[in-house]
Amino acid sequence: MSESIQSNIKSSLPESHRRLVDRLVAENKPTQPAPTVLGQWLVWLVFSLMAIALSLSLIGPQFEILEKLADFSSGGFLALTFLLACFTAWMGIASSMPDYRPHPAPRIVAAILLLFLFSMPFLFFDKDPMAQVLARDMADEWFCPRTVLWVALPTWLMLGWMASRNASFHPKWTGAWLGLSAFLLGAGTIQLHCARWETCHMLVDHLLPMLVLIFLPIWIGGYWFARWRK
Amino acid sequence: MDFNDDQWQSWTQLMKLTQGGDKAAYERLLVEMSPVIFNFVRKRVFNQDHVEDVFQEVLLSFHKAKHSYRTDLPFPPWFFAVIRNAVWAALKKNHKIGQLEVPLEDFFDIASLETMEDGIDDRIHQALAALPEMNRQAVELLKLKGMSVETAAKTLGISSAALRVRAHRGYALLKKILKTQVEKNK
Repeated sequence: MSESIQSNIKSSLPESHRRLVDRLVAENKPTQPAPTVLGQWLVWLVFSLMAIALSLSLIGPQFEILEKLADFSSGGFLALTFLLACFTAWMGIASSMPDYRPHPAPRIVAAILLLFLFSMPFLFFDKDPMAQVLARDMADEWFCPRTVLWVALPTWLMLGWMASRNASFHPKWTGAWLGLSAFLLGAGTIQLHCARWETCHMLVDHLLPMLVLIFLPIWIGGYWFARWRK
Repeated sequence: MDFNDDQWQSWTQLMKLTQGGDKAAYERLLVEMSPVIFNFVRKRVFNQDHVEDVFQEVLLSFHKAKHSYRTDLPFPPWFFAVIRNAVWAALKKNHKIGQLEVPLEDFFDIASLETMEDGIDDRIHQALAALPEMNRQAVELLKLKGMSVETAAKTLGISSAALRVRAHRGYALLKKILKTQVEKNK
């Protein structure tokens, strides 16, 4: 486009638009293009594997972990938990990009898989009385839920830091996806350690923190990931 | 403006230069894009009073999101996805602000509930004086001096969107202050 046409367009803009253009131009500084979704997701994957390895080196894996991994129900539960954590982390990073187009399909898939994950303890594992679960929790000072939180928190912060450097137009969804990913990673990690494959214990101590606290990453995400627009 | 591959290639090139910090390239890009964005916004915003505000919000969003464009990818899909998202976000924000808006008449309704002997004007002026400076200025210019949003924004040297935000926060605070006065005097 020639200089004269450009100058004509500029002069035809209303005064407030021209001033805005001048301000934005004055603010322009060299920037590094943001890494791709895949690049950020791989960084998260490496960090998450390190977090899991560190946690297991501190608390130790359960005695029969290899048998459990080979077993259809317990291996399936672990695989689904970690795969969902990977999927939700991907969606969280993707949704933090400004050109992300929301689509119901990933939400529906995630909801169905989460529902199945929550129903697995009922379908495949031994029933245990709730009173016994609570009594044990009191005795070991809620070790399992605490571990879920301790694994979830740094991975969520790490994911959040990456997502906040992008430019999310859907900050609450970004917060929700990243929160789910972090809690699922925590639930998977504790399940590698905890040998109690029992319905109530798995639901209350491993999966319930996600249901109870998911509002927090959504709420914080609404502010944190929208800050770039302020 | 005719759109063809050359135009998009030119914009892709300008984006590369912009990300490198080239101000002249960025100015050219913004000036060339403005009519396209404005038309895009105008077709999607039914309330014509909001078109300019939304346009400015969109331009600001584009400015803040431009680091996320990867120059090895085609520019048009990224550009239109960002603009579409920005329009949606700006409309949502305007809708929220609209919901928070308190018509000036409501202040008189609230003030008339009061049984104090001093005049309504005095009470409103007292409440106005209690507002933070920037909110007070916005409310005074729009509601007491009757200026248009654009003129008031020019007077204060800020964007129309920023003025609306200041004014709406001012209305909400004013309502709160007047309500407190009424409750105190009951």
